Amino acid sequence: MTISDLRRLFVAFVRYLALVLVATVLLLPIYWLVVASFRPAADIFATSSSVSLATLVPERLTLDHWREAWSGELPRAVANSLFVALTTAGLGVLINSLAGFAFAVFEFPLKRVIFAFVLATFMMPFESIVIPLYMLVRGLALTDTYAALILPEVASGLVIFLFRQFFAAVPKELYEAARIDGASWLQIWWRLTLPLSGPTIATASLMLFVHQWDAFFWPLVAAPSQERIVVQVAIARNVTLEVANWGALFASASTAILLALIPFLLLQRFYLRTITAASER
Amino acid sequence: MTRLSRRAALAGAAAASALLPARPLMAQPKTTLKVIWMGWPEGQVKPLMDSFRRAQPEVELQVETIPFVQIFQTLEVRLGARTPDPDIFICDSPLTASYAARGHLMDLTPYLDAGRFTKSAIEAASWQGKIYSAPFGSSCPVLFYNKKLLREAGIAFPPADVAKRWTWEELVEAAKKLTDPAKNQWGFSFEQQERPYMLLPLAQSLGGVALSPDGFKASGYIDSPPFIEAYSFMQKLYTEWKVSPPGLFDPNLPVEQFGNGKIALLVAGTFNEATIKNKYPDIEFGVAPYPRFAKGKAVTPTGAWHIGVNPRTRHPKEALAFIEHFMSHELQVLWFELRPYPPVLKSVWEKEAKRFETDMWKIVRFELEHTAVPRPATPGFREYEDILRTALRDITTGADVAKTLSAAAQRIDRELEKYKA
Repeated sequence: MTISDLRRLFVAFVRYLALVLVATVLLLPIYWLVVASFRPAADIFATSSSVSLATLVPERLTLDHWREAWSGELPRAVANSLFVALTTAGLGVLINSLAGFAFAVFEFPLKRVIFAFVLATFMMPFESIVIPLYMLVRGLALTDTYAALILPEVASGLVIFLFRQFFAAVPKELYEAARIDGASWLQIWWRLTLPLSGPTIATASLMLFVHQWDAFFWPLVAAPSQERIVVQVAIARNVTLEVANWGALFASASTAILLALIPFLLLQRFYLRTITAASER
Repeated sequence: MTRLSRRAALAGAAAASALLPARPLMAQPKTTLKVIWMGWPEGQVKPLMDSFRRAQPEVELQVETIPFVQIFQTLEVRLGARTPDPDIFICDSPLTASYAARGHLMDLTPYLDAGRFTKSAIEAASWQGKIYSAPFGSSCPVLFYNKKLLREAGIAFPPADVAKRWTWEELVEAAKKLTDPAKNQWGFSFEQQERPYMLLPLAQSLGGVALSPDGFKASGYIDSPPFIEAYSFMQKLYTEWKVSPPGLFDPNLPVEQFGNGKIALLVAGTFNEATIKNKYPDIEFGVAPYPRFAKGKAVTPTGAWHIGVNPRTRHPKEALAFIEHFMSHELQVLWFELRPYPPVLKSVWEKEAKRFETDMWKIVRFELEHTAVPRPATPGFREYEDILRTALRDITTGADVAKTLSAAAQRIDRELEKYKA
């Protein structure tokens, strides 16, 4: 083994050590949360004032909190959130890819200005538009409906931007050839570009899904009834100023994390690829 | 084609209108009141609402319970849209002035008999001489202590007698003996380590005033010598004497630690009595009054949840019936049974006297009548509270007390300026 081999090995070792450390720091709180959801109520904070083995390894285990969480409003909330998040992702991919397609392929007056507006929408804090948005939804008589939860989140400046970046990279000749063959623009979008943009679709749906999965403030404002409860609201209901049901809180939060992980793990390689590609263009 | 279909539509409309006289024979559509309520457990909300439903069967209630963490933001949006929705909303008493000044509360003065309520409740409900929110509950923190830990440390229990209440100086001496880093055991904690609600009385005990009488100036008040002295004392709990666990800003956490025997003395709201008894049945604890400074007077915080009526409601008659029902003796007794906040109706204290014979309730009754000071009435209370809260948080972690308070006072002044118009 030469010196340069040794050096390479050492560098790799240091790099992995650093990665393991960072991963531990990031994952430890989540590990603690999941484990806490299996501890009896009295044990949850009994070992938390200093970090020791007992903080990480529970002495006693119970399923009470999980039973409690799942016998309450959590199942309804999970079903609502899944419905809202999946519908938003489906509709969002169609609408945003159409917009992205228009920005990438067509020339029209004020195109750059309009695109700048689209970009501005995802940099604007939601709180600044929530009152007019609420008035609009109320004006359309949509309060307390699934539509109130879904429609405002379908169009996303960031997702339009991702699609635009992807479609702009498709050679113009391809579109021209299809036009000459008599395809309409809608056919080109549907038959030619969408099938090419698998990774972008995966990323876009993931972003829209996670955004809706995490939605908390808007659902409270726009659709606060029990029938429309979403998962983050169900989690928050375990805590008031005066009483916290930590066990049920941790059990429902663990549920939310684990469920949101599934699509992310399935699609993460597309996600990373698209984000890198979009930023390089 | 168009003409035909219009004709058809007209015919349809005529046929429909012919049917109209038949409608009164069917059930009258109910008036619906939309209510935004705190996210208390359902078992503490439904019985109250059902009681109203029974009393007013012709009124439909649509109740939305919002979790505490988002209730103020949600109300900001819903009220900010200036629509008739909601008709009724739960209102944190110190926000009464803020909502009233912005036209979100109906003046309830003509509909409430102020003489039925405790003095502190009416004060907390008033803004510029009018009653804008209907008092629904009050609050009063007391000093909980772990009997076993005090006995082991050879410390006499703090007296429950309000005349002999502990001073903060006595409390610190006891807390030092009760703190044991090896066992992760802390002498003392506030339930709310950063909230002005629980901490303003420290400065008020030394003669401090929380805000100018007109409600628009914090400079010269929260950065005055009593405030600097009181919050320097508070800081030492964490930095010099190290008797309080730092960073437990979620009010539920100190209570958990008390329940686990890791905190010996805890200043906390009365509602914790039931929580501790239910969740930690093994803890033997006693209750004493909120301390004062040796050279100062006794001051306690108060105020809690009130009920407000949206002045834009389309159903004022029904909304006022709701208020009347919720202010009734019977309903307030039911509420006390569901959630034991200190009552706001004098009649509940008098007619239910038996319930209040415990040490804790004797203390609470005295405090509400003699030492309770509501949080300052200002239309900018949200800003005042947010800024002061951040300052208090910084002070617990060692920030320069005088500078932090003075900076906070200036920021609050700037924020309050906008309400002067």
